[in-house]
Amino acid sequence: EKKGNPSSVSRSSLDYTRRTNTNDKLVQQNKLVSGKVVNTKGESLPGVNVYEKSNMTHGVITGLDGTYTIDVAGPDAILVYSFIGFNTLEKAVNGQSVIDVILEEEVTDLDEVVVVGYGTQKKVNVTGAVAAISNDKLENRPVTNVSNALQGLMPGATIIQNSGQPGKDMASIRVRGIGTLNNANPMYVVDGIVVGGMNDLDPNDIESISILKDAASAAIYGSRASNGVVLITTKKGSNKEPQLKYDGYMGWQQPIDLLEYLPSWKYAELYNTARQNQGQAIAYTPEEIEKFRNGSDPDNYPNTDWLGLLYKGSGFQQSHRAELTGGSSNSSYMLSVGMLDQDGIIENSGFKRYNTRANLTSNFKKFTVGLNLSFTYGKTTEPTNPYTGDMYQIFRQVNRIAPFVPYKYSNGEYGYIADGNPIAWMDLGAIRKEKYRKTRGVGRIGYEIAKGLKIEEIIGYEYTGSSDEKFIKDIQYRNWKTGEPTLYQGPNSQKDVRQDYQMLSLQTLLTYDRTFGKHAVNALAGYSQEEARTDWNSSYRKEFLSNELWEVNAGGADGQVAEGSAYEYALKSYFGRISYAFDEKYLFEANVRRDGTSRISKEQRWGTFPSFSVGWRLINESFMESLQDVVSNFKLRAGWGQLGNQNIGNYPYQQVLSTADYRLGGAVVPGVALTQGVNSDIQWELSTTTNVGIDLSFFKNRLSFSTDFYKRITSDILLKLPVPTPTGLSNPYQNAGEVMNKGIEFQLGYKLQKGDWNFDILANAAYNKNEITDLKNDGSRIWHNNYSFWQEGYPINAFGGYQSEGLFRTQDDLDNSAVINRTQAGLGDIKYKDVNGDEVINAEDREYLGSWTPAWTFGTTLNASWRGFDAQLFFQGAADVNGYMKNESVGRLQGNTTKPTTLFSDSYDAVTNPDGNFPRPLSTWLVNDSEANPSSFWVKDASYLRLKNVLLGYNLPQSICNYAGLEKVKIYYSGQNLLTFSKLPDGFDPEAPAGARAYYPQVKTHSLGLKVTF
Amino acid sequence: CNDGFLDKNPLDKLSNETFWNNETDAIAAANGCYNSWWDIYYVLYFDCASDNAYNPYPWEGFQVQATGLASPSNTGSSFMGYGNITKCNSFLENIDRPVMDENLRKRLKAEVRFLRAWDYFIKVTLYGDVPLVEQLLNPAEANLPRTSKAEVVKFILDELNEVYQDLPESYAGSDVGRITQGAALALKARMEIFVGKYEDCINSCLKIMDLDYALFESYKGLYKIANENNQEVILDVQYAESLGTTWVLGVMPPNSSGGWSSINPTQALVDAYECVDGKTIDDPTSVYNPDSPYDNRDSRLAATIIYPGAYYGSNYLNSIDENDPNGDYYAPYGRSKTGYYPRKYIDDLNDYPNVWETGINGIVIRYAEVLLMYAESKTEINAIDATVYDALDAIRQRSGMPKVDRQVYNSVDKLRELIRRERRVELAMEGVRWFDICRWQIGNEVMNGMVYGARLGTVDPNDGTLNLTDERIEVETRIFDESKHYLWPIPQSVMDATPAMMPNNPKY
Repeated sequence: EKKGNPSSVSRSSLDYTRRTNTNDKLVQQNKLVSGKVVNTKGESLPGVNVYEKSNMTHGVITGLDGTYTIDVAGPDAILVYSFIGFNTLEKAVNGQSVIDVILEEEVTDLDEVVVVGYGTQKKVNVTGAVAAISNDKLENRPVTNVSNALQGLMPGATIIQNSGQPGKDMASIRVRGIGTLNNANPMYVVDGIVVGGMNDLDPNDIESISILKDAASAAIYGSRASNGVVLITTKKGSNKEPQLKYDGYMGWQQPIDLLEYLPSWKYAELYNTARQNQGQAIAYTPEEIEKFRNGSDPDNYPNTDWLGLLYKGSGFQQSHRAELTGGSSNSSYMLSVGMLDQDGIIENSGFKRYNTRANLTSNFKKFTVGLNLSFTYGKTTEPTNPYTGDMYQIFRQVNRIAPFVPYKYSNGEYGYIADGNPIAWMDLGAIRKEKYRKTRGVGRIGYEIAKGLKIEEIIGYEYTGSSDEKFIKDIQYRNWKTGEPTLYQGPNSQKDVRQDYQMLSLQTLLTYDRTFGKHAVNALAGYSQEEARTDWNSSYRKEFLSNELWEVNAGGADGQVAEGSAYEYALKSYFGRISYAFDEKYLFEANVRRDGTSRISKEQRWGTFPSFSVGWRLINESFMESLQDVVSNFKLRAGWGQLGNQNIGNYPYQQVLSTADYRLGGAVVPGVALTQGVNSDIQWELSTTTNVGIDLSFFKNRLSFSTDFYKRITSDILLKLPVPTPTGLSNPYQNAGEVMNKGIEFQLGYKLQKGDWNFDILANAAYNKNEITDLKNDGSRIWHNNYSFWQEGYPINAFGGYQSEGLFRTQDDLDNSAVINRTQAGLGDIKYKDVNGDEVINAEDREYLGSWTPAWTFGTTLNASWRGFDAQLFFQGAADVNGYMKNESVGRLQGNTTKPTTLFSDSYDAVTNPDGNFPRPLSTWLVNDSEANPSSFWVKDASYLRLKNVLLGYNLPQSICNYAGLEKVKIYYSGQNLLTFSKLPDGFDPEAPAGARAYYPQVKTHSLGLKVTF
Repeated sequence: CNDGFLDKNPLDKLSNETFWNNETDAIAAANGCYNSWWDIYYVLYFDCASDNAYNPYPWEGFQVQATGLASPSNTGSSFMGYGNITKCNSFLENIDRPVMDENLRKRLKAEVRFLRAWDYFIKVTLYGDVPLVEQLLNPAEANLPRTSKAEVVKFILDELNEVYQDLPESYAGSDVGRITQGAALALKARMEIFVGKYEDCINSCLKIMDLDYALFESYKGLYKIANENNQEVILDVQYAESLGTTWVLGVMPPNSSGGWSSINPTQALVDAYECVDGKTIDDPTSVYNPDSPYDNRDSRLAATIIYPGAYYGSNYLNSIDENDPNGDYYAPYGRSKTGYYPRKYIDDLNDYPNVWETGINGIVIRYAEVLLMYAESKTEINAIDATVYDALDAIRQRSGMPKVDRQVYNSVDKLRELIRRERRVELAMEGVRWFDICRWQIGNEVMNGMVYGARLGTVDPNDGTLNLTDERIEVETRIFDESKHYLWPIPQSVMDATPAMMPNNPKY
């Protein structure tokens, strides 16, 4: 069955009829030319006007399938293809009888609409800083969640993915730097309803995403918007006949950036050297080292590849999605079902997600009724361990356990260290299952009271039921020679946490939108209230009858634990907006929101958040007319506003007694105690943003450029500043800190069409300078771990430690320099700068060493297409950022619970490697240790450029599709994270959390995908 | 704008304002003061800060103090928090609110005042001058300078003197483990002997001796879970099976038995034990044989320390032979760095279903210590009489040792030497040694120089017979500065938050 492209049909109601009086009785030696006109997506275009350049009245229009036949004056004739909304194209006939052409859609921003708070706005009228992307940027990439899909696409949104774990690989989003020392996550709004996150969404269900970056655009969200607002709109139906689409892919993941460790014999040699350097006897004889090397006695002298034993998951992933859209003149629908199934790169790690969605809209008289319903089921599995219980420890242990510990002895008994054997844990197959079932419904009914005046009532409801079942199996290690039981790790246990989250939001919106001559007025007044409650309970039992039964009842009643609680939150708001445009030149907008929150004490819970912005569309000024061939858009924007952050816990101002049980007479006795310091006067954090922007485009919008400068000051940041120790309570929150973010953002786009070729490039870059400007103290540093601090004048994520001046290479230098501990000092140690010159290296000598939040972030997408083929390269990266190499990542030489990475190959040795650039081997002496004595030696430039996505697609020729009865078929290959350019040593992932010891590595994925439109 | 829609209160926590109604509330609040008042962790680890033991893992908090490397930014364990004191102060400010039995109110007050005095006892003995806080403070008034040690000591003694009579001699049932009259008197005695108030200490001890305490029949049995709450225990930190367990015992056993080897007794401690004939090992007339150094020794050695050749678990400990692949050779990570392991509380791992989850109580003060304080105080004021010898004999004879040789130990000096040795071995690995070093001012002698472990050699896997070489394990070199190390450094974070407490202790 074959249909015309409905969207093109609708365009056919245009004034081409003037030229459609075909004159086929012309000259006899006329040449017959035929062909097909399609758009860049390969869809046939009906109604395209095709005429001879020399004779404009001699033309035809393409039929429903886009084909045409025209007789032209001769082989040298030139054909012109024109269609509203598309760039006009000329083709020389050059004696050809078949000419297929691709028409490129006219690039115009004029009609582009972006989603803003409580509505939409024409992009040309936007006066704030809004970054928006549409669905086509999210398609064709086998990304498993939305946050990862956004990485690198929008300037000013720093998106860092630091885990590749299926189900938990979502990235963190920071809009314009870090504006608070607390939770800096942006606010998420899906279809008008505030939600906790967006990773339950199927990226393919999304129509558009807008990020409101400045206060002018975000003030309508008031007390929750200071970290930016991410607005997501899901797909709508159409007013056309039904269309069914299938989209699916299969892919394989592999770990990237695994740490590389030295073999056991090299470790043994280094260990000997380390002991000698500490004045101790060697631990391994040359004969033993030889046995490690030649593998002749694998029981006693093994060389175990622990990482190789761990990374054995298939990494297979697949996704399938079907979408049906359609409707009639007054109703539309979009129905979708999708599933994602991922197996991890380690066994027992995986993720499954099922999404269904129905978006319906209907108009009746002056009523508009809409309903968006979605259901998501997600299930993450990950292995557990009987030592600490969590998966993290498995990665950590694999990165620690020495290669000279055997995985298994020849008789099948496990080797182990005091903390156990991580692969034996994997072999147990014990799993933690985290599931969620999220139902979200947004219903709306609108009524047009008078022309331009509408009232709308919106009810949003979300229910999420989640469970976290953690089963731990026990293990008994044995002496491999005698079979005697030795280390036991256990007991087996099950912890089962169930949680219910319910949120109900009610909103009333009154909108007015009219144009009077040159005056365009748009106004909004609204009320909303929101109430959320979370109930949870947890049950725990241990000593199960067997490792194969894990429902709680199968565990022993002795030591069982039941816990449960609930917490609530409510918000009430009044808000309004007025925007006014004069003559499409001068734009003005004001927003205000008044919020009352349950999280702040009665006396201070109401706050008002205003914003103002102006715009000047210079392009519409008369003095610009002479430039209109070159300049196609020119707008200046400026805005100011204030926003809040109340992401501060549910009851931060209330003094409560903590549980403090004790044990008496062989039983637990209940106790309570005053332990928490509170401050009932706390207020939300307030951020004030000023933004100035320029939008420019040239050559019919082929080249577009936009830039924004901003300054955001977050004040009253809630900090748990240390209070005098004799207070004896935990540090209470105080509205104390102030942080400033200043930055600039650029976006540059260019589009080019040459014949059948289409190119476009979209590049963005953002620079942000982050600085703590006030901590309400005397300017001194507050250390929150031993290598990072907060201090006025420094960025939030600041590293601190000793300044390394390289390694000690001469005795003279060593003898005449300050050291931490003279008795342990030696050549090949890191030379620390004696900053205060007191001839001792101590805490006073620590300095600022860099920041782990990037100053620069950037992304570039390159697209090219030719006929049915298209290709995309997407790079993303960050610069001016540091990483920290913790000792557990670098490796250590402390026996069987540590091992050295290949970095140790360059260890300094006065005789064998006097030019070595890595500190001399030491075992328990920690002068060079990156955790005991943090220094700039371990701070590295973590700038990187990552080839995030490579896409190669091919649209099957229409003839084949037709033959198969399909409208369109596309196959594609996608490669994610294929290449990374970074100065970090091999094995260190620039996106890994700063100073991480162990994490689920990021993955590289190769996928093959298929898209079919039926 | 003031409707209840926005009024949301915690659903599972009590507010301080609405609490304090009845007896149940009062008891729960008193129990809250017991929570974390002390921990068996400290009972077991504290000797690592002394010459009795070595803690190989710096992050466990008891290595840098003994090595002499503690600094304000690296203090090891710190006891400068005021959380426990604040809990007690909050209790004492509110306890008059509930409607309840007055006798119970009085008793609970006394218990909590003891717990506060205990916290100050730890602070004043470790740090000297510390801020003395007797009521709840808001942050604005809490930047307090340090109160002199003498004043803090006086506060502790006055408090204990006031409260001990309000406390019962013993408890029954689910109250067992609460603070008793004996505990208050014993802490008072400890504080008195620490500051050299010997007469007062003797009086306190005599009061305790009038109470219903006695030495438990078996020294080894004292630390068995089966004998918890026996008549020798005066003060302990309590744990309970299944829900109120402690994991700490697991740090002690050898690697091969699933432990962490975190607490390593030293050779110096081993050498302090007399031989069965009541003579020290350096006495040439003793039965000591250097090549079989653990034989014919005070039975408390075997009850306190697992040494090479000692039977433990299912084999004879071999921490001294590199070539025994099944042994616990000291050198690799995760083994005792002295070759010795503690034995108290973990004598038989079969006593517990899981050594990492035990309900064992940790003994903080027991009657033998009272007898020793009595004998020591009498000796120090040169009031040596038969009661002194009797006290010592009772302790020695319980462990099969001969009575004190009256001929040898007949002067203040000789008796002091004996009492100090007796105290060291009787209370070894129970966390009191550091306090004794401080009050005897013997740091220079015992906390300086090389720390030794066992002699290397072989262990016969069938009967534990030793064949020792002359090579001795060297653990670490310690430094002790008399003008500095009798006090611990106050953590830099405390100094930063409380500038009025500056300066830190001398030389830190």
